[in-house]
Amino acid sequence: MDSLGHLLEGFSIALTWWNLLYCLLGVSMGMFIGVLPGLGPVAGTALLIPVTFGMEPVSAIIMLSGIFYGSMYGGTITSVLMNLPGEAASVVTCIDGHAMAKQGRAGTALGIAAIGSFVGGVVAVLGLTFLGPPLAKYALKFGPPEFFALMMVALLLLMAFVGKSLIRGLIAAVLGLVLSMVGMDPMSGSVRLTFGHINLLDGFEFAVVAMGLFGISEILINAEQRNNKTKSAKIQGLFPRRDEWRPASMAIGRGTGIGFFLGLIPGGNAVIASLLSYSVEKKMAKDPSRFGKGAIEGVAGPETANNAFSGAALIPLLTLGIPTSPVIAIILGAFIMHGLQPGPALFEKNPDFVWGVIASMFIGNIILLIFNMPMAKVWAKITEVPYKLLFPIILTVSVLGAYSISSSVWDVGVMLVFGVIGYFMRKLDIPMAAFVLTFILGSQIEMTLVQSLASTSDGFLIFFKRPISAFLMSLAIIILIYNIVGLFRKNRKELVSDLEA
Amino acid sequence: MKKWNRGVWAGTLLVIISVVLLNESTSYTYTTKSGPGPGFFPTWLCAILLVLSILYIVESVKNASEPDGEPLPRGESLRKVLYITGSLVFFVVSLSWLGFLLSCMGLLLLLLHKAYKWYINIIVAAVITLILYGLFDRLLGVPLPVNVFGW
Repeated sequence: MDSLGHLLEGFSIALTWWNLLYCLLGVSMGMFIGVLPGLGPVAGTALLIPVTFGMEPVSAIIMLSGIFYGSMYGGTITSVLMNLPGEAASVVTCIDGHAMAKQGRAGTALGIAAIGSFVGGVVAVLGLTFLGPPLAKYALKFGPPEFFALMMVALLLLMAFVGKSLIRGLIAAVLGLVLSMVGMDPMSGSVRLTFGHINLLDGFEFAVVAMGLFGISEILINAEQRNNKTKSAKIQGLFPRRDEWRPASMAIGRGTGIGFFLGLIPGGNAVIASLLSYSVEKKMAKDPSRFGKGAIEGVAGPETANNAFSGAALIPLLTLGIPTSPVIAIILGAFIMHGLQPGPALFEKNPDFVWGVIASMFIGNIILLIFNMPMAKVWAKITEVPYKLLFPIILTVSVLGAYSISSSVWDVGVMLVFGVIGYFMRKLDIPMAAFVLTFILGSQIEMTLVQSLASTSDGFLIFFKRPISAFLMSLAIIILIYNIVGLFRKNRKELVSDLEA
Repeated sequence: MKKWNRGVWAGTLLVIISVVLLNESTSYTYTTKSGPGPGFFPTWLCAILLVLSILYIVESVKNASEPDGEPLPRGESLRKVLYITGSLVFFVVSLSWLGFLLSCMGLLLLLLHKAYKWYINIIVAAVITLILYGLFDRLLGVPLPVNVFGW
């Protein structure tokens, strides 16, 4: 096959010692950035572009892509070990990953995350290699109506996060939506719900909110333990138990699909990929009550999804020259700075470059896997550091991380406030995951809805007139009906058991 | 009968918040010629939030006998939580005055209180502060605040 030949040539480029070195450097820096709370892949990639100035274009892009998916993995480490999302997409991994860590299974959580990430990343690169151009063209058919319909599906799957009380789950979801509207509305330019605070013009910074809600609240909750007891159980192996391999593998498979698909379409981001994967896993699990307490699918799925996303997100960039998310836009900037114009012509004019980059993505994923499997136990040892030393460090680093996003003390304050809010949400059993999902989707939901309605005189019918969005909306409606029926059945069962008791 | 449990408090707070936000939202344009305006969604969402908050209060009153979630802290635990929160507030407030190096030292010392002997605390705090400074300010190029003396 033609592509295979090109790919092999690409490997010959990628495997030169200096490109290998750059790949290694990129992946390491990416991991480091991922581990540091606050500094996410966007900021990190942007910060490191100047470093690539003197380099060959191939090497520069190799390094930058390495940073991109390296940071996806780095964020997992702190999420699992300290319930602190190192970067936005790892928020979901906190839920079950940290629960596993508390059970002494941090090594396993990190191990399966490494495996899943590897699979997701490699499949995405394979997709890029063999299916790139036609897939990308198909993905372009996604306009605002399709995206809105997709968000509806995501929101309804969100019912997976609702927990015991529907009302509290809905409150969390609606609160997330409301808070996502704070700031300047991109459609009309009017400033909403800021009550005059300049700092809120851009709304709340997601990473800051996530760090507060998950990380800071965790520390506050732990502070209550009467005698800082050493709570880390003995660290067990790297691999899942026998009976977990199957569900984990299925989760990885599904996560790959979800992440890959979302990476292709414009407007997605890695957080949505991991959140969607988590919802799907919870829905498909035989025993959904395990989620939140250390279900391995809750780690395997989302982690795979966000790496598959990173790989797939490069497809529209390389094949069509279209960046589908902020980090990719920065990589696009790097392309241009090095004198290259990504797009269909790139494959013809500079095949060496393109295939060199693609080959190095394979290598990057392998490097990540090698780094992290044995290292997982080493990372996990961090949980053995005495808590009274660990938590001040975590707090200080988080605070610094929050500050460093926009050099603003305001963000630190916001993080603190959300830390307190998160603390109370836990006390009141209001699900934080529901809040986070709607918060991140909120502005996009509104934007796509308004854009869809503005582009037509059909009103809401537009969603059903276009094939893809019609399909997705029908899917959403089916899920809605399924959920409502499920709710009634649950209530009836409870009613029955009440009567019997 | 314990009607005023924490769910009721939370619900009431939410009601107040939704009313305030609803009030603000209605001041934006509701619809424009081309479709929903900036006020459309916030208004509806706040209205829904209001209804949900009231339902939440009702639910909390009904379930007063079996409060959900973890118990609220008392005594020692409460003091610890407040202490940590207070330390963070201290940091936020003092950062622009004292500059990063001193605020960070201060924060760490506060958090390490009674963890080890006082001189060890100071050494640990200093080491960590310097490492973080090197990391963020030097390596990553994130400018950290300085105090009136310039450092």
